[in-house]
Amino acid sequence: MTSGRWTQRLGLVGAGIVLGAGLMFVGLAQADRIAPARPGVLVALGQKLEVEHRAVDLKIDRGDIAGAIASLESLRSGPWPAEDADLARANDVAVALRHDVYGRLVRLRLDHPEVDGKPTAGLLSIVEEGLGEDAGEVDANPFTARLYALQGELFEAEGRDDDALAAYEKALEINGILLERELGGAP
Amino acid sequence: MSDEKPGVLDPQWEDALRAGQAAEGERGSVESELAVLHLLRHARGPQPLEPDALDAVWSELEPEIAGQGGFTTWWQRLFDWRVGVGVAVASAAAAVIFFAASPAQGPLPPPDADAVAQAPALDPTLSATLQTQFDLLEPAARAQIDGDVAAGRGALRTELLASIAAPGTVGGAP
Repeated sequence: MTSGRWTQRLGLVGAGIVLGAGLMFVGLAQADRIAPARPGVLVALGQKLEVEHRAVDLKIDRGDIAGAIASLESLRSGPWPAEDADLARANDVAVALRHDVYGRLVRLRLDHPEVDGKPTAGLLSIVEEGLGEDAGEVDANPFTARLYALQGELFEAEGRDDDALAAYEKALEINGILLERELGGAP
Repeated sequence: MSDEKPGVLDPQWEDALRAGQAAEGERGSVESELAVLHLLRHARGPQPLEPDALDAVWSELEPEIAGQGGFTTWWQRLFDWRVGVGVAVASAAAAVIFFAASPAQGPLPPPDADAVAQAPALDPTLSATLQTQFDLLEPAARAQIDGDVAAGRGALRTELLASIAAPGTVGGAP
């Protein structure tokens, strides 16, 4: 009787510890207190892109659209983690950063067709390269939504209306999630 | 830890926008920002249109619906979704302007058909709507990414300090 009661109490304490540890982990993760996987790669990537984006801003301000496009083009083969690295699959931030660069490049090319113009098919291939295979798995973010929206715009220009609508729907779905988070006050 | 940001529906956003406009001598316009706030509020708590306004919207939609029975050619379907999106965006803009212009309480004035027809200030294409949404969502997303990078930098600093403090790595002095 007595040993059974003690076993029951120990079991409850153990379950409490496990539950508490789990809740603490979830709480820290929600508060962004757990560092992303391989922080060194993410920090290097974030800092490099911050510098590159500022350089592109400066070139655009000076009217050097060709230079801005060239800077963004140079990033296509640049700093992205390898496909088989943990970061590329696991860390949504790196994917969002890549989508940001590709989105900015394609937007700039669409707005300035007179500068080193590319055919629509060429721009579509840039978008698909930027989206990669992990676009559907990444957490909702506006950069992925913009890339899908640009894909829709390009499909529309090619007269591929069904494909355009599908791409627009993906973008709207992501933005809907983000808006819901904003309205709901979710982190 | 407890510094709470006001929600997007908090009236103090509108007060701040109005105050900023007044502080700059009424230069510039905050109407587009206010329209977005009203749109968000409407999305949170949709308000029904008055019968007259609803009739006006239906009068726009009916010609598009009429004659759509049976087989539709590819160009008719193409016309459909683009015009549908345009009408939807125009209706949303009209609703926002209609409710923004009306007082919070009391009887609503009869809708001005001309104003409703001229109301849509938004580009009725989906790509433009998505670009507008991106412009709204981008700053918060960039701040979030900056936070993630800063968290990574903090983790690196912690790792470095831990490696310095580890036994066997400290010292050098006799």
